[in-house]
Amino acid sequence: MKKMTVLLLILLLAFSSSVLVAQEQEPVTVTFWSHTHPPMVDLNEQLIAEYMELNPHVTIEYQVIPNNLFFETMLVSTSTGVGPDVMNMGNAQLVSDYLPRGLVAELDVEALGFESLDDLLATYVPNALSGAMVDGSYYGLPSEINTDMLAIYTPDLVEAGYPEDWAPTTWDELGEVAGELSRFDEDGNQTHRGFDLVYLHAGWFSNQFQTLAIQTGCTYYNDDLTESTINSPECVAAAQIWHDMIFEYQAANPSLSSRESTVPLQDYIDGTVTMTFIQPWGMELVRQGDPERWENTRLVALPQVDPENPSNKINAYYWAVNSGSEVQEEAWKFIAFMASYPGRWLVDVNFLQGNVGMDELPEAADFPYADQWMVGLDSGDFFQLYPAANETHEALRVALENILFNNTDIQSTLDNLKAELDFILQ
Amino acid sequence: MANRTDRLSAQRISARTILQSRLFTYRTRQQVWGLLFALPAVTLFAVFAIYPIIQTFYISFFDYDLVNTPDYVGMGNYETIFDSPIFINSIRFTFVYAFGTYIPTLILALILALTLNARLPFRGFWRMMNFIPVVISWVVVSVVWKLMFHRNGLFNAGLDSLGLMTPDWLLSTNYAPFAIIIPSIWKELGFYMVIFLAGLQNIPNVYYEASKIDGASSLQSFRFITVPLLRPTIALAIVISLIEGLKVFIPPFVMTQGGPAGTTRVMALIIYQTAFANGRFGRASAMAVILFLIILSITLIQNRLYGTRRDIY
Repeated sequence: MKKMTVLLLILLLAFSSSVLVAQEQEPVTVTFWSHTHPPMVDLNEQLIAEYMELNPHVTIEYQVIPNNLFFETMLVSTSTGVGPDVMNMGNAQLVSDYLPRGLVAELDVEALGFESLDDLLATYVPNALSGAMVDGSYYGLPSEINTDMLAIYTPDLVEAGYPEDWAPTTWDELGEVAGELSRFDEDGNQTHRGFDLVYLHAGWFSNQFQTLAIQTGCTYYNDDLTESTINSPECVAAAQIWHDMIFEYQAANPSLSSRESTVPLQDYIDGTVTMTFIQPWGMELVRQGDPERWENTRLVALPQVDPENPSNKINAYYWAVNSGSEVQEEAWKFIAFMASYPGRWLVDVNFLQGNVGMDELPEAADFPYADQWMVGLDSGDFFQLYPAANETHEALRVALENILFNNTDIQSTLDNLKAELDFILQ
Repeated sequence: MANRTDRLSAQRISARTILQSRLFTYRTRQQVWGLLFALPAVTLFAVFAIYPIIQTFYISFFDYDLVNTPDYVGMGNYETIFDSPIFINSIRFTFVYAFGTYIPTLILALILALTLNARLPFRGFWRMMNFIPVVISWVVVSVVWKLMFHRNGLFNAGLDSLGLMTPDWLLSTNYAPFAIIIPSIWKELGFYMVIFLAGLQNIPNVYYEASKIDGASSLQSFRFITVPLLRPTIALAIVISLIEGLKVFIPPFVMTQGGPAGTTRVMALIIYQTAFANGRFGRASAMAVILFLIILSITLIQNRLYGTRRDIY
């Protein structure tokens, strides 16, 4: 009888605790969408599996969206209420398209595991969250923060008679040397480019133009966003740099570029271009694409319009939570988990996330050019925030294609672009 | 009393019989069954076609981003889009595409139909070969032709082997429109060939026999018999082709994304971009209404010009 009573009590306790556990851990599904960057996708999948193992009641449904359809897919789905709970979005779109529509939720500091916003901010370098901040409110944690360096395939340089440690300090210097590295066939058709950029979707045109624009002082709009300033002398100067690489130095040639590749640095990996812009995430892409090419790649600081006063552009992607999500707290917890492995992001994907003390991480020792990247981030700044990013980028792409493909007059092309950007502001 | 009751009862029976007979005649029953069978398709059409069209008209008068409450702007969207050089250029290129594609297509299709209407060896095989592109999806066609038009693609390889110029088709504002039009002609040719073949086969042979007896040449037969009798078919082909041309979306979307420098941006593409990339649904709806009105106007004009001509025979 006594044994039976004890057994019954044990069973009762076990049942009660299982009920309590079941009540505490109600099944939750969190949807998460990102763009297509193979190393990032791999690590996302690993971390998702780990998170679900640690949190059996949580299911993370992960979807990868093709890059060329990413922005419209995200905007429409989020606007119509069928978007993901967690999104990974560029800072320009986040601030210009999502925030004005009220589509993203403000940081849930508590769900992220902090007592206060100041505590959270203290764990990041000063600029890290600025790209997702409006009027003092923050809307995302950085999944990657980027600045630009120049990637050089050294054997081409040496073959042309330049020292292995050559690095351009000005754009003219880059153009002249890159022009010498370009190769042409007997009919005069260019077969190899000494330097070139990427000619993919509109976001790429804008991203790279901003790298030049931040050095010349160009902005897309005036400070109160009432008028476009894209036809200013500073913007003409930025466009002139890119234009000259093609038409003056014959270093670049858009017609040789791959405009379909999922991997943005495919041309560099394939060896059809000697020098190009690269961001931290690009290193792993090159290494995976062609380890030999990576072994012979050297990264140096970008040339500068004013070498005495260098400027660097920062851009970032953020993990953000859909304001329409019904599982916001769980979504922020998931983001906190994803953001808690800066070392793995460094080594596996080469993503910088702007954490304080990142250079002291054990993984930082294996992170190529860690010091140089940190210098770029510390001295860099986000480009001007502006409305209607997608629309602005598309209009800019059209204008740049005219300048870069058709050699149209830069000033008049940007004058026309100004009319279009003013129209966007209406 | 019994007689009055009987009379009333008989009247009620008579009225009911008349009513029943009017409601449930054979013809009425047939009509009801017909409606019932058509109801699912009509419902689907109403939900997925009529309702969105009405909604588009409605939304065109609002500033709407799918998220916030639509803000009534009256004709504001229409005024705005006609101030947009991008939209005006898209109208221009849409017509360039429509005429540039379908004029050659119809001419070539007629020539093909005339050729394949004659007794040729393996006539069925040639007809089939010309029709195959019609059944391939537009996306597949666009992707393959995009590769062919690459600077180092098949097209330039062929031109180079003939010692001809090899332009950068997809990056040149001069050649990109051709890169869109050429595969469209290739794909559409078979469809209109079949339409013309059907028209040709409906022309009674007795006219040709009579013309031969009268000593008419082939050209005269074509001009005075074939063309007039094929006129309704030609009118139909023109209407269909113009509508298709003005609605084009996939080739510029897949091959050039409207570039380079916006030179191949058709109206449907700019509607798509305005709506789904820029989130301006009111403005995009206004553009869609304009496209609809353009197509409707052209169709009405064509119907007026070609109409039903009873004087052909």
